[in-house]
Amino acid sequence: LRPAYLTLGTDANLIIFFTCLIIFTFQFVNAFQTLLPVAPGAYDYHGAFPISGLLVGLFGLNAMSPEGVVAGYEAAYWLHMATILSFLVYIPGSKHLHLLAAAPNVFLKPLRREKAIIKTDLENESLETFGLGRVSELNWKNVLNLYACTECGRCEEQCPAAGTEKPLSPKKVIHDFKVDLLDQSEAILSSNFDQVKPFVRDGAPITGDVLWSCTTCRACEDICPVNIDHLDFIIEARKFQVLMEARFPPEVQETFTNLENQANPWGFSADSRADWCRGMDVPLMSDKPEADLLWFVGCAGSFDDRGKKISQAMARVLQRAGVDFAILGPEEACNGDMARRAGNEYLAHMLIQQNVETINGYRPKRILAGCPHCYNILKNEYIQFGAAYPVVSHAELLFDLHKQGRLRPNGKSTGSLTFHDSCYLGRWNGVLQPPRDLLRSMNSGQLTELTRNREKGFCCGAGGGRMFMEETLGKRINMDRAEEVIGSGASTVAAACPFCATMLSDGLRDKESGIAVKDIAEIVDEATA
Amino acid sequence: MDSYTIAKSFLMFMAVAVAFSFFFLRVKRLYRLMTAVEGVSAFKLDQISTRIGILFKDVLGQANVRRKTLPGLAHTFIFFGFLAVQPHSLELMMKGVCPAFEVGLWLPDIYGGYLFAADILATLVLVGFVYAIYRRVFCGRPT
Repeated sequence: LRPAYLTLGTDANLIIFFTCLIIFTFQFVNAFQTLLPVAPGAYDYHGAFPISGLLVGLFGLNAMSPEGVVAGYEAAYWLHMATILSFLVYIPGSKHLHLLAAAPNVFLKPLRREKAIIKTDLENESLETFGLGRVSELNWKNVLNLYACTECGRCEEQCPAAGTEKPLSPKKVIHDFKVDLLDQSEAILSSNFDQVKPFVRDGAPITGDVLWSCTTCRACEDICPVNIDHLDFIIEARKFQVLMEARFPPEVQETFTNLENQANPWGFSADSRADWCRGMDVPLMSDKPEADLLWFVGCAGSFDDRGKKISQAMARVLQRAGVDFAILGPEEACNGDMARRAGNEYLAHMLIQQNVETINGYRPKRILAGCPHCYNILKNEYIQFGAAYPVVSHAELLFDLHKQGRLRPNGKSTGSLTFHDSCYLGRWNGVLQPPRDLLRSMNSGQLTELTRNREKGFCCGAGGGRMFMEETLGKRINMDRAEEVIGSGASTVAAACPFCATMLSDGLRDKESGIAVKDIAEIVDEATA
Repeated sequence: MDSYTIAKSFLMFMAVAVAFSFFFLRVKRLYRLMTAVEGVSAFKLDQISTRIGILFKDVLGQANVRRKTLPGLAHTFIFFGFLAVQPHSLELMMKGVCPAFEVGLWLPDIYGGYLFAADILATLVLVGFVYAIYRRVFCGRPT
């Protein structure tokens, strides 16, 4: 019943064999050293080895003749040396290359938890290709990542795709890239890059299904003991597939078209973006450009029925707390997250630049995002496009307002409550504690943790553009999470992301569970009404 | 020096020279491959002192690996045990090539302390491997 992510291939077996043999022979060399006659001027090894010394009595070495001791020593010595020197030669071609590469890879790791997708220079006419299509297009840091991997499988253990029988294993992706790189090393070393074959090709292990199974949750990167950036490979590979090969799940085409035409993934009229707050006295930035807070509502919060209810709750809470805020309304476009993570860098640039021009026109003091995907891209990626403003998530803002005494709980309890971490809030940005503190404050101190929580929170299945793709392979990720929520015994699960709320609601409904799914804004709204 | 010692010295010299040459050639090729790829990394080396701290904590201190307690502890045993074995193995290698090489007489107390510790740590490598094998053969997937 070995865990699937722990592989025992020839390489691993050889390494275990080599290492054990090195240690055994080391201890026998030591044991025999204690029995060898001490030459004049030489070090006396008697009593030097507390463990190896036990072998002397255990194997009756002290009963051997002096010639036998010398022969035993020489045999152990040669075996020890042969093993060590063979291992030395074997290391660079094996997964134990990590003995050399792990330390530099850790030393050179990104120092911030937050990260941005690499901005592709689409204006650069000298570029013949975009994204990552061939191993020769990797950079030195990617290659160091490949060398550093020891195939420990922790990434695969945490991966929501691998855990639900999808063809993606982050460990295998890294391994397959490394094998392809080494297989095509002759062409790369001789700079014959045009001879390097694409890594997605007939019979190759990296397929479209592998690349499109990723939810970009970053569980793999977070858990990796040698700090490999798995997503740098997957997202760049998606870029190549979309921009150069026009290969992507067919259902995404409609989403791309909707984003292009209406700046939202569902294709609702862009003019109706502020309809969710009709009659709520929510000001637009165009009417109130000096507002303290620009609330970037996001597509889900503006168009999706479930998301609209969350936005309405959030608006009521902000008004109750006396926050001076305004929204962009029809001036807002999709933040570009879905297009970017789905590899459509061109479309993402278009949407981002549109928003950047609008936001820069108002130069807001601070931006509020109710959706972690908006929050992440506004905070970490808009800076690449010339918009650098302080961004706050609704979880952080609501907790701050509560601490300031501007949101006072009415004492009504939501009942037994648990919290589902959004990947883009937790793992991508480290916002783990504020939503918990907020929920405890709003629910008389009660909050139950799910089994997989905080940095190890399990994805809902919607990230990386997966919200708009069919999930036909393996078990549905949201069903896996729904089962965990049911197992927690809570009557309500709180989410801090409209996509998570939708995925959890769908999963729990399919499981015929009566557990309510609420956004933290809805919980605060009810608790402070 | 007897003929066996001379032959041993010669053979060890050849073995060490060949093994290290192969090792360096293979590593050099990997390094060349790493620098031959076309992609450009935006990485800039900064905050050296922070990075050195991370190296001490995560690599030498094995903190990253020990986020999973038992497998991490097993890896720590293997890592430190293997590190501890190397100086004595290297000394034996040198002694094979040059029998007069006697590092133990330079600082006998420190050398004795090192041998004592290395012998215990080497055993911990085996403890780590026993756990690693047990985990691969008997443990189920965590739920």
